[in-house]
Amino acid sequence: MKKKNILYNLLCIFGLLLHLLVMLLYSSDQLSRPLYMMCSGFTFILFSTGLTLSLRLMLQKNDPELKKALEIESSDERLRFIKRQSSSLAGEVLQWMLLITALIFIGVGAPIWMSLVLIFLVILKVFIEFLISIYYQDKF
Amino acid sequence: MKNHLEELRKERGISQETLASALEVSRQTIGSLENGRYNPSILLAFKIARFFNLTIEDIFIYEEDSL
Repeated sequence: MKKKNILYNLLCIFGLLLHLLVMLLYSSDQLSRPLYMMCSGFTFILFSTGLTLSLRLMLQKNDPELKKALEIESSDERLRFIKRQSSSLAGEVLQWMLLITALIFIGVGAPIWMSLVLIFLVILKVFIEFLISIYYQDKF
Repeated sequence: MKNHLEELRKERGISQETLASALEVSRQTIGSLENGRYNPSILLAFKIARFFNLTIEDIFIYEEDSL
C-alpha cells in the first residue's frame, strides 16, 4: 500500500514536472504548437492518473467498507467477464470502423498513406490477437 | 443452467447482500445467478455449495439445452 502510494505520487509529480518542461520549451519556441498540445495531453494524463489513483488509495485507507467494495469490484468474476466481453467487442467494432474509414478515405481521394496506416493498424491488431492466442494456448 | 439459489437463500433468511459478502462477489452477481442470466465458474459454484453445506448438484441443475 505504501509502495503504491509512493508510486502514484511520483507519477503525479513526474507529470507536473514534465508539463512545466513542455511549457518552458514551448515558450522558448523550441516546440511547435501541435507537438506542444500532444505533449500537454500526455503530461495531463500522467498527472491526472497519478492524482486519481493516489486519492483513491487515500479514500480506501480511511474507509474499510469502500476498500472491500473496490476489492470485490475488481475480483468479482461476473464483472471481470463483462469487462473482458466489452473490451473484446469494442476491439472488433474499432477494427471494422478503421476498415470502413480506410474505404471512405479511398472513396474521397485522400492520400493513400492514410488508408494504408489504417489497414496496417487492423493487420497489427489481428497479429497481436494471434500472438496472444498462442500465449494463452500455451498457458491453458 | 437453472439453480435453487434464490429458494435456498430465502429458506435460510439470508439477504442478497449477506450472501454476496460471504462469497466475495457483488450483490448484482447474486441477482444474475438467481435469475439464471449468469452461470458461475466452477470455483464460485463450489463456494456457493460450501456456503450452503450442499453439493453443487443440489443447487445447480444441468440442462443440455442451455449449452
